[in-house]
Amino acid sequence: MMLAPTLQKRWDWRAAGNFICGGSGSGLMIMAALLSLLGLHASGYALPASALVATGLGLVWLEIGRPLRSMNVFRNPRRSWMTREGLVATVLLPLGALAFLSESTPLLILGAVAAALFLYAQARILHMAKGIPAWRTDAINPLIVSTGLTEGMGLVLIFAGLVQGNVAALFSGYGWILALALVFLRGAAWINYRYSLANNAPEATLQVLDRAHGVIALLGVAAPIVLLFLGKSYPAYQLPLAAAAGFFMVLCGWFCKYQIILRAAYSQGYAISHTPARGGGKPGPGLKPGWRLPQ
Amino acid sequence: MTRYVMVADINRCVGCQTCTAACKHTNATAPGVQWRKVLDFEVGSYPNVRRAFIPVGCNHCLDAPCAEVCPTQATYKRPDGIIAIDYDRCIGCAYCIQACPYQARNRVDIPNKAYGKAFGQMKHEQKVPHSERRAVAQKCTFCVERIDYGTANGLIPGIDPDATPACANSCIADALTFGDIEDPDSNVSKLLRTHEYFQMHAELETGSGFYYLWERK
Repeated sequence: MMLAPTLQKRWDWRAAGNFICGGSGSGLMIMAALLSLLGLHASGYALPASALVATGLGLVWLEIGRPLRSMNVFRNPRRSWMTREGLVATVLLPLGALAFLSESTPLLILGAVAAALFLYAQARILHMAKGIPAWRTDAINPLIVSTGLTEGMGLVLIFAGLVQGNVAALFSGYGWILALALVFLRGAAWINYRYSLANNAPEATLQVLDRAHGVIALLGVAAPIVLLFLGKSYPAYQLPLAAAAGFFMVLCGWFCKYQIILRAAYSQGYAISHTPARGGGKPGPGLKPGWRLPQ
Repeated sequence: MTRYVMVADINRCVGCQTCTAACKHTNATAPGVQWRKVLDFEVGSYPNVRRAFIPVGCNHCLDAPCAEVCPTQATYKRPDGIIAIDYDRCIGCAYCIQACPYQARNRVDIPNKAYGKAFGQMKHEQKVPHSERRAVAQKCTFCVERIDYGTANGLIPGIDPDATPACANSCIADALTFGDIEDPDSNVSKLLRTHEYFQMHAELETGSGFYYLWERK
């Protein structure tokens, strides 16, 4: 019988898809609202943002054991962040559609408020999963929120070329600085997350995160920074450079969540603080299999 | 107030898995699902090796993380401290499975067959399909039907076998003891007063209702 932590199999790619699509969608809604305040035409992003969130929730619906009872998910708003996520989505989705159809900035901002709550609820869902050390750390909250925002900004950069003048506006105003700040913020949140787990997670979890670190540092931090600075320096290539930077910002966020939700999600395992006395002997020390340091 | 807990004396447990078998027999859990099981720990290396047999299952926690996260309130705490599941309300989201640090919960989507697909369901499997448990969360109930029957008929859980979980009834070494920790005169309260004990993953502050005795005071 396995005593060491085992990889959770119950939440598969569909659950990860909710965090990936929901995080990107809510991040996109928030960034669209922010950029619209900076003068960009951004209400068009509201519909794909809502569609992404809806896709994520649809994936979860496909995963639950009893989909026909799914409305029961709204029964515990007092304590469950999953209920709260669902409730906020009922506001976020129509607001996104309305903001798109009416091209209304106030509606977009209202949608962004709902999106911020949705993104926070997603972070707290993982945080409250006490059985998975890679999720329950406090540092998961800033990581999930910052990567959602960064992915949202990445999507804005990828599709900025669809609206005349948006790319130039991004690089002439504060848009590119906001993108840079988010990349740095997510990098800091990732380092903080790994630090929080350093002696506080199963060995297998730490190995997965160690392997992921290089990819995240290179593609999620270094690549977007270089591309954004190049975009600022070479106006003629701003469109492809912005799209490439956005691509890496999104890709890294999805990779990070995939790693955390599917690959690093080892259970707590079992542990004893004492072993029993046998015969006339004395009790012995305990054991925590699969952990780097005795806790 | 009443709070039912389980006490396991790890000096007594011999790892015979009789409790595991009794639980399966009583609750007709699906193949591969064990609401009560006994872990076999081996500590150290030759020649200084120690072994410990540790019964595990749902800890019926005071601050149960599973009940906290459940979006449907299908998982709830009864007034007697037992964490129960309303199978008809559960949507099978498996959030409680992720929240439980004791790996005590399961979800079985396809009715299992003890001897595989080729042989179909055994007669006993057909008689107790427990379709209400399919695709929803399930775990140890502390044999709640027996406790409810016992308390309704003036029996004392943990003392009278008809009001006591099957695992505690069946233990050949008297290692498992069930009772009300809020009653200072109960069997479990006496054991906890006279022994050193630990709770698994106490650092997670779940208020576990499963106590392991490791030394007499």
